[in-house]
Amino acid sequence: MGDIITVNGLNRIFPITGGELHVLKDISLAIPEHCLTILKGRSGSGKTTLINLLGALDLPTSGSICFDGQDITKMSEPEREKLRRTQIGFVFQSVSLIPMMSAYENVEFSMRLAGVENDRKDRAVKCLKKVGLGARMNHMPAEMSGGEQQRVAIARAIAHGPRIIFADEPTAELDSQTAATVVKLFKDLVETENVTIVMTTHDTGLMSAADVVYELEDGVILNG
Amino acid sequence: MFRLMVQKLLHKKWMVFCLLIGNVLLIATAASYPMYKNASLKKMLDDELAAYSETADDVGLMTFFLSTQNGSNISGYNSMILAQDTVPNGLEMKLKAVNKHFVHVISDADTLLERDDMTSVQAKLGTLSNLAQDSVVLAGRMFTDEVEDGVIEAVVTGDGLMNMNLLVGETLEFRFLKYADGSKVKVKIVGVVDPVKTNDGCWVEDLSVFDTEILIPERVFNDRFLGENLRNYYVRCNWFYRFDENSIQVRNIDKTMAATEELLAKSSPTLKISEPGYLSVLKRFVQTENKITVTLIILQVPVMALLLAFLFMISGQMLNMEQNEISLLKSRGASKKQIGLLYLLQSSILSLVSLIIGLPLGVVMCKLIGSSEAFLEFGAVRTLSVKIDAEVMIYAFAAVLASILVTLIPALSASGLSIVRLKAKKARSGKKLWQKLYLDVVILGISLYGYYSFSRQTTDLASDVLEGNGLDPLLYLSSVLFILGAGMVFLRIQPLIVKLIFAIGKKRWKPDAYASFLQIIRTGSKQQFMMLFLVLTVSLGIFDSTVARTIISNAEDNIEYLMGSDIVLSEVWPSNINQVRLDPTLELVYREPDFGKYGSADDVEKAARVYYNTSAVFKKGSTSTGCTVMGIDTKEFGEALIFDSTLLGKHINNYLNEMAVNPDNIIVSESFEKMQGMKIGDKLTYTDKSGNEITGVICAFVDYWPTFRPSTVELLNDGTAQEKTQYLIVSHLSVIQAEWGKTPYRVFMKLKDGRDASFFNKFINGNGILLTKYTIMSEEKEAVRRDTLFQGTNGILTMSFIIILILCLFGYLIYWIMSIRSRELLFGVLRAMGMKKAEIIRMLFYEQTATGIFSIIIGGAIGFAASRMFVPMIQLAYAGENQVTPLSLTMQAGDLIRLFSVILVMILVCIVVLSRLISGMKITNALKLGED
Repeated sequence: MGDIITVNGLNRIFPITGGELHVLKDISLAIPEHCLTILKGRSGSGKTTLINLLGALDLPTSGSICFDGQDITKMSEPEREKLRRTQIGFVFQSVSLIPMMSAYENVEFSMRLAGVENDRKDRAVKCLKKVGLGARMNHMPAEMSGGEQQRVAIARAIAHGPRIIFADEPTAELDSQTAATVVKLFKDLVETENVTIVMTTHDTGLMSAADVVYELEDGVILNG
Repeated sequence: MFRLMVQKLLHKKWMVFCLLIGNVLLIATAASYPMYKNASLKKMLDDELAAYSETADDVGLMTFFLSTQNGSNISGYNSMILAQDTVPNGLEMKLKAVNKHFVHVISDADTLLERDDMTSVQAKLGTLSNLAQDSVVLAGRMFTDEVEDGVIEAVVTGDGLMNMNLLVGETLEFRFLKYADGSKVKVKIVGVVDPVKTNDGCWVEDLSVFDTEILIPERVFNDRFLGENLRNYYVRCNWFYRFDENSIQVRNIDKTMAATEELLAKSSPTLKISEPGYLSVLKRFVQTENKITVTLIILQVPVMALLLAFLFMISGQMLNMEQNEISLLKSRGASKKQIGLLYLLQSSILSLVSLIIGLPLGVVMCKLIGSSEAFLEFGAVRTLSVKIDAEVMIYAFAAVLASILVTLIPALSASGLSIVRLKAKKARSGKKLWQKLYLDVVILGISLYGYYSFSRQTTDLASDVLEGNGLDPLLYLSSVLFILGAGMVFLRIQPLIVKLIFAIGKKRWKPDAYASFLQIIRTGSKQQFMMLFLVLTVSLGIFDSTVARTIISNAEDNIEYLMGSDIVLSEVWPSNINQVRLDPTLELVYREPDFGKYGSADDVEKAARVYYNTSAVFKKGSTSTGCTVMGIDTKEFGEALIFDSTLLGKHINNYLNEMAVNPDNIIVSESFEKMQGMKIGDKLTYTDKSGNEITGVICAFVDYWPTFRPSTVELLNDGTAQEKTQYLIVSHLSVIQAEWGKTPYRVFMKLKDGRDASFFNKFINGNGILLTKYTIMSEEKEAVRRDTLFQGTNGILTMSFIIILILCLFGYLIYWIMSIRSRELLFGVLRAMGMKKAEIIRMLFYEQTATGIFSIIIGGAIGFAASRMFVPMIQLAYAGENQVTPLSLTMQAGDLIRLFSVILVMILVCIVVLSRLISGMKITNALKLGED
């Protein structure tokens, strides 16, 4: 199994009033393909910044991020957009569903964005069934619980067949039992959908499910 | 609490800015109404009083006259003397002056000078108050109060000196006029004076009165003949009260009229009181005043409603943003009362600030209205004295109150919700109450009912106008309701249309289009108010501009029709009229002045002679009917004419050519065909007052002809209007002059292109032309534009239009900016999912198209429909009894271009702002918004 992402000497500095905030300090790591990787750390440790950089949502101050051998930090904005549309899925901490679309439409929409032309309907239904929401496809986000919404977000993240899914604190707003189900779902997906999943969490109870765990503290990886 | 509110306001500065603009405009509009109304009515009143003064000098004059003979009527005299320097109760006018003219009736006097030519003279002895001040001494000197040996010093007017054949220095002795001691009254003519006539001077009466009067000092007259001595004499007493008619306040008119009439009712044979000229002016004024007041307020209503709606919308949006805060306050134990108080405080502060800005702005608006020349045109120099008085403050405070209510009501109802119920409420959505109640259909129905019932009684509307009534409030209301109702129906239909389009290409829509469709369909109700606002803006804008343009252009068309050419005049013809007066058996003969001079004037393209005889009759069977005969030279007439041939089926020259074929040919009004059953080729005999007959052959019937009114409406004694058919015969001038003799005709002068009538006065004076009457078309048109009703309408509609544009701009921008702000997280998610910036901007553009641009198009359609339906009826209120030409709806492309370019700019600004917001947006920052 190879590494889908390799990170080298990554730094991210945010300008703030009266100085700079050095959030990520010279980080190097590798994300193995078809695994569930967990980035662990307390809040403020820099894990969200790291996952945003990995997901091509943000650019580092220095260092490189190679996605499948290509340095995404050197890509143009349209290239990174295309990458996000087709290769990457996102699950966010808070409710990130599009409020005016039903569960089904949310999932289908990500396929439209990725340019999937055929069988969008079947695929969307399949994905929703996979996350256990086959019966609630036509419900609007506002009509669902937090856990259900997060599962729709996961279905949406996998629907267009990305190679990697980034999940930033997907369980932060869920109770521990629901959180465990979500992580179990990730584990299943890694196996059945052939994807790589990177998630951040501060919940130490979830670590056992991970294939790889990186622990961050003050912008530095503790376990190299 | 105050700090909390200030923080709250600063935090939402854009919202507050919009609320402030709305409030300021509302207060300014409300305040400008009474300001403009009062200022322009005052101006109109002053103009009318001034116009009256041009022909008569008794506008502010009230004469009290009594005579007392040997003690009769002495009590009347005494009460006049007591009251003579005070303003009668309730007149509410300033008194400029009271002048007195007392004169003895007895008049025989003998000269004490040895003269061959005369021994005695008919001379009355009188006195004028202030005579010395209002006169210039021509010869001799002014009298003094000295009385030497019973000889009083006196003066006479120049004409008096001639007429009475007196000499300066001569002493006269009255035969029967004696002092209290029984000695004869003697006067010495010490000087001759020339009266200086001023408005408030003592020379009130016609100067010929003083041709037989010798004037002595007032004090001497008082001492010797009045007071205790009065019972021995026969004296005529005149008191001339000069009121300052310009001091009449519009709001006091009713009091002034009532008090004047009450005073006049006291007039009796013993005390005669003359009617002051202002009374008739006021009576006429009150009629127009009512019409103007009603019309102006009706025109203001829609824009006020729109302003309130704007405030409602903005405060609703602000409240939406604050609902979390309210709920939080509520959950932490703040009572509904406290929250209400917070909002009340906020509204009051805003209103206070708005009041400070709004009142001066109201003055500016009022002046702009007063200077409007046409729709969206300013510049007329018309000085209005604008005052901020109690009435203005009442209107301003009423506006403040309305604004507070509008902003407070949503807050109060929101303050009843705790955070739990709020979340529950947010999840629920569905049909709005008005949709369930079919309020839109009801409003549209009411307006259509209004439309049909009014369109069935247009003649009633016309006669209403004659009877002095203004724009029917219900009619205007119907038109506004139509716009509102149609707009609401559109809101009901719009989602269906969007859904239909969405369904058509559901599978194929690109992500941006797909997202925006779902956005519109699922959250449409939030946008409805904005859409309605846009629809109202555009349609009212179009409607207002059409009303304003139409009333002016119709009035101008009508002036063109009724005048017939640029300048129309009647010259005084030399004649033997003076001899004829003395000897009625003589025939009246006129000498025609040179006509060629008119056509040869530099600026004149062509002049024509047009003869009118309005007292001719024609006979059919045994009945004679009155008619107007017009005599023209067909070629000349056709060339000097200004006439809109679309009124006739074909060009008027075709008719003139037809007539020119045969000298017997006449063109007659359609009434001959319709009422008299005549046909082309029929012979028609008509006669002038002296009975000279002419027979013509009808070659054409016309329903319109320059200057001709096919029917006139007359106001009967009982106040109702009645229509009367008119008859016109157009004949050859040469035929008429041959049969009826050469008599004065009118001259039509058409100006060369690009020339104006400024040459006219010089031309008339230079040629020594005496005119009985002249009318200049450009001046007539100018007068219409300056007319208070027209100008007020134009000014208010223009103001409304500008306010609408401002509201539209800010309302639209704020709505969109808020809408974007509230969706930043969503955009972050979409961007994270790989959506391009351009796609998001396109998505917003589609959204704007389906809501904004769609609304604008529909608003345009509704505006045109409303104009087509209601403007013809509304303009009747302005047309008046002189309207002959049929109405044509006038829309100026310029107005539409202005309206739509402002809207275009608004949309462009909106797109630029949105693009910048989106471009500057950091995905990672946007996503953080979700992590609260």
